[in-house]
Amino acid sequence: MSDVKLEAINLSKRYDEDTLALDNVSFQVRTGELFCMLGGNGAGKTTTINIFLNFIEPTSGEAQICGISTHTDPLSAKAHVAYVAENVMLYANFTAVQNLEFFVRLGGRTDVTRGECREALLRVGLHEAFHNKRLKDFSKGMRQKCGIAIAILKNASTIILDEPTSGLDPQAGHEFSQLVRSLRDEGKAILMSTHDIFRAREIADTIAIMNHGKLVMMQPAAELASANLEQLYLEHILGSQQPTLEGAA
Amino acid sequence: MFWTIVAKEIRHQLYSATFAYSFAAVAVLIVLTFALAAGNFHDSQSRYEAALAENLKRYEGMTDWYRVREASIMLPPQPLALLVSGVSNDIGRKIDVTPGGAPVAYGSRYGDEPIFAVFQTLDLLFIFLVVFSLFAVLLGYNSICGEREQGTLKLALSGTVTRSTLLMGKATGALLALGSALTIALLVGILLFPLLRVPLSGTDWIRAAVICLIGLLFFAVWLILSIGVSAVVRRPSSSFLVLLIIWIVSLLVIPRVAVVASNYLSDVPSVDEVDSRMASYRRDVNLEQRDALASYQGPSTELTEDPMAGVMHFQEYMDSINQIATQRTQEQWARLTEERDNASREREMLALTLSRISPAACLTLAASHVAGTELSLKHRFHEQADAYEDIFSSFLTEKTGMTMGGGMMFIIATDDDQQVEELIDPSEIPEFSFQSPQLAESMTTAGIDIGLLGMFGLLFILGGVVAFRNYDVR
Repeated sequence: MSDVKLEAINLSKRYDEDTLALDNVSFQVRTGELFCMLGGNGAGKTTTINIFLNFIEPTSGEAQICGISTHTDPLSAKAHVAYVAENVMLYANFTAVQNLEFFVRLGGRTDVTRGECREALLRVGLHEAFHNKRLKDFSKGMRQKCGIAIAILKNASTIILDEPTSGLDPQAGHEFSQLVRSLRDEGKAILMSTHDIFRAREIADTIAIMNHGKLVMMQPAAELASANLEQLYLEHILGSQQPTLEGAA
Repeated sequence: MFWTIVAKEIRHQLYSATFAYSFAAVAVLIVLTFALAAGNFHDSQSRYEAALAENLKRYEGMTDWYRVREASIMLPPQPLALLVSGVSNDIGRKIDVTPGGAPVAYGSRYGDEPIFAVFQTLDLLFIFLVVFSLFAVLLGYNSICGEREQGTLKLALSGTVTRSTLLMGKATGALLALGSALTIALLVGILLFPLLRVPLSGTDWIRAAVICLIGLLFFAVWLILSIGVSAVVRRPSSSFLVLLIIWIVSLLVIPRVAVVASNYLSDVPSVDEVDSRMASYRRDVNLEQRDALASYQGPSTELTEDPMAGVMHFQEYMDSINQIATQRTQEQWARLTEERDNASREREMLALTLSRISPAACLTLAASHVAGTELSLKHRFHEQADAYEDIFSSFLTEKTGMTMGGGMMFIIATDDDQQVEELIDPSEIPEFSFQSPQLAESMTTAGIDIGLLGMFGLLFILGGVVAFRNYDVR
């Protein structure tokens, strides 16, 4: 079996004549790889994720999860993926455990137990006292932890994270990054979109920069270790006419 | 997967504050409706019994049946009519039956107490029509679009569940949760009847249960419609607005427009028109009667010697003239009313057919058929009054030996002191007993509308599933 878990093959998405949201994007995410998509608003990151989750159809090209087309066989494809949104929203009048039980079952693991849910919540760092608390009083960080706990319990080989750390305080962001890294170490193929260059540099194996629907740069993070990623990002995003970071500062 | 969604939806509905507050209000209204119906029933029953006693009282002191010219019959109060009033408050509840006379009902509740006509009474049908439908809208309008806006829909659909399973599961869960809650409230309400000593026959219990089931079916139709609409529009506020417009059109516009349209499309002679034609016919008959009276030849010579025999001969002659006049008047009346009734029925059928595009009209028709308060209640009362008139006429003919038809009559009074006048016994007058249609008959006629309600439900769920397939969850 190939170790390519997520693959975008010449993906394009056109909403209307003037809006090309995604322009011939291709990439692969392998087992145990954390692939970070960087880009500003409207770069095409979320559109790519939406195609992987079959929320929208590509105009051309194909998205595959574990070799299965998300367009032609979405249910089989989605059985192999867990998704964590930018702002994990769960049922406010349910407890953390009840939410986990429900969404994990919808993810295909109908045998999940409450004990497993509690274990997963402990693993993501949610204190036991909150397990049976209703979600309405949870902070964003706590909800993100619940979201990642759902992904853990689903036990999918791939995880898609859509700007999961945006809006988190530094500590919560750091804890979240540690969790993602540990999942990567367990062999999960992770596709993460983010605005956060620093976070991407910290945890990614591969960094891709998207701009106006195009994948303008894709390199292993190791090769970028000594490069000025911020400068590189600005060059790709803003173009040569734009001021440098130092100049802007 | 389906039952996971059902179980979650049940819990989700029952935990919500919207449910708690709105259900409390609905439950109070349901129980209040039953309690009011029980109170109204006792009130109507005592008025009915008083009217019956009053009717018998007017025969007190009468010593011969010749003086008994009419009997009043009344529509007895029925507990189910207080749950689904239908036309029972609009039609006259009393008819003074006279031999040869046309039955005219009077004494409708709305006529006697116009305030009820202004604001209508609170009955179970009102609760179904207005409260159940709004309750369904309130708890279903954001079922899908609310989850989209909240963000849970995306997470749910990132799993291996199909959209149709998710929608059907949500609809089933909501129906089970809310339907069970409403069923409990209805059960509590209906159990108030025996507690408040409202007599219900075995058939009445079945009818009441069927009425409640129809109400729950109507609620289900609105809940499915609400969930369906929420799977079409993107924002909960838009969903609520769309549903509110559908609600207004379905409940208030379509039934009224159907009646107005049928009025324009079919021609029915008015009651005044029929009365005028009947009055003209009566005048002709009276003239002919007068001519016949003028051409009275008198008794044969043998009879003229006996004055009593002469009077009796004249009485017989009058009797035969009256009989012919009565028969002709009755035939003409029957012709005209049949003509009007047929045209009226055609118009009613047209109005009902047009109105049936609204689930609210289907509910009204089905529930009133089962309760026996549908449009034909008036016809049924009149038909039974006609039948009673024959019985009453035969009774009087038997008692007096004469046909009572409103013509002239000679009554020979003697002042024979030796003769003790015997009072008539009013209890001998045949009793009027109003017959409601058989349960099977009611169910057959209600079946069309119950079936239509079911079809609406299926149509809405199918529409919802199709719409949700293409729903943009982002």
